[in-house]
Amino acid sequence: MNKELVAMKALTMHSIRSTIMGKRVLIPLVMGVFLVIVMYNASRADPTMDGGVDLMGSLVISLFAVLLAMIYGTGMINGDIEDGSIINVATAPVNRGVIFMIYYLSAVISFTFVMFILGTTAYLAYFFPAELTWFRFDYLVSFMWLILLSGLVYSSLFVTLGLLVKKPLYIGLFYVFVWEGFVGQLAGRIGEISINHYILSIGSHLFDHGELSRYSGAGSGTSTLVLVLIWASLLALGAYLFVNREFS
Amino acid sequence: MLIEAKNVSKWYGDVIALNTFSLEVGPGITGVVGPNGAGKSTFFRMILGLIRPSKGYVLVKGQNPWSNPELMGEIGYLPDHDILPDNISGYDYLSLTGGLRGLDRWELEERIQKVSHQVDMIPLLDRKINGYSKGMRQRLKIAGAMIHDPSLLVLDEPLSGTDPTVRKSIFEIIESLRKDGKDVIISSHVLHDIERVTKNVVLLYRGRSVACGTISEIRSLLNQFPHTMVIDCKDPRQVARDLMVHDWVRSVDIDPGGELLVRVNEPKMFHERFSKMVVDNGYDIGEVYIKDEDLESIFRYMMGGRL
Repeated sequence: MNKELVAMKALTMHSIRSTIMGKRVLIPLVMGVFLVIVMYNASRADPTMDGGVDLMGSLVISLFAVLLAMIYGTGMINGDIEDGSIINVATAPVNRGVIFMIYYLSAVISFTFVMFILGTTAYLAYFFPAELTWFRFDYLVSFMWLILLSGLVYSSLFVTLGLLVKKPLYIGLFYVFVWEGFVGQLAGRIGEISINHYILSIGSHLFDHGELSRYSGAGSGTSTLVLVLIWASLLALGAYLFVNREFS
Repeated sequence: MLIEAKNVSKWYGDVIALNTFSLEVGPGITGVVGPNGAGKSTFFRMILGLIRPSKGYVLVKGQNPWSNPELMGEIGYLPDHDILPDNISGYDYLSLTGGLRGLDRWELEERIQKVSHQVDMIPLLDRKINGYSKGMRQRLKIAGAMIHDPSLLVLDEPLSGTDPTVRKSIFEIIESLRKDGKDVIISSHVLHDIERVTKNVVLLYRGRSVACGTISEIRSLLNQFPHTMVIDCKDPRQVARDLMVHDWVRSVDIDPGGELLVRVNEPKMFHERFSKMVVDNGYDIGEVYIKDEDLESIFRYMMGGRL
């Protein structure tokens, strides 16, 4: 195998392992327990298709997906900078731009792997105890697609944020809870200045039930275009910052 | 020329780490000596392409190391600070480091065995790094620096905080690298340490190269300035009494460890006369060397009015 490919594989495995394993394994565990408790009890109280889709949209897509992408993304490069292991990576015979993309892909893979498990568990916790005729496999696939989309876009934001500021977790928390959680929910055009708005806009075309299906956002094409622009700009910025970053 | 630095300056805000620094390093083993904050690590990081000069240039094997992944494949680096992740084993660390340098599974296994044997770490490889002593961590870092069999090794303070046994093994490793024809650039704030591995020395102080040459040239340069000699001997009181009568000796003291500290005005005179005294009086001498922290004051003398 080509030397650069070997190096890329080694860095990917290292980054995914240090992101998912170790002390951080508690984060998805806590999230998973919380999701199961909420979804299962909601299903037992008043099981409706609308209710299930709404809970998946608000809890999984708009909250936990953003939160997990922030935790994994901000710690991806910043964690290696803080513990000094970035020196081992930055002195590897691999182009710095490629190294940045490996970090980004590792964040996406880690996020998607964990969120697929959490999302599926949450979905099953709601729909499985309810009548099985309600189970919509296509809805599960749609939620997984939204999770993947969130992972791709939010990881580009938070991995780059990890290079822009020294304490990205604080800025990340502010972004998740104040910007996406509050400003993004406001009526009018201000609410459109959030990534979540465009993800929900795409989501609104994938479901026939719940508030999500009635979400009045941009069209699918416009939303996809905006997300691609945000994603590409953030990746270009992140790669530029990493290539020109000095590690002293 | 292995490494060439020309009029290199590096600023961090108002702090200047290297100040119009120029240096040429040839093949073989070269020691870079200077007190803390002299700019040794800054210079090494430039060699590794981790930082860029604010002014001037650095060339390694004729190439600019900044954004030069091909060149990085030829260099092994041991940083002065801890870069070892705690939650993995020594074996996993070497696998990661070798993998990052493009070694496939078979090459990696072979190299891990070889470098672990060189640094005497084979029985410890399966243990988690957080259970390693300082010496073990240092040896593992050296193994990591050698994993891809680089032609140039940059070792930043490899002896820092190590006990005599580990120091001895590190000296042996460096000697074996020399025998293998590797180029090594090694830093320390202790001249005495560097003296054991090479004759080629560069003295750094406050971001400048203040002297460069062989150990004997450096020694004769240092001998122009007053400093403190440490004498490890069997009967320090007798030696102290004999020394105090000479006008080239400013003061004599015995430290709690029983070593004799001699402050000399004219080091050259000390070396000439003391050798004769040892022969004439039959002193039982272990070793004689310049007190390490005294280098700082010698450097200040050498810089003179240049700062």
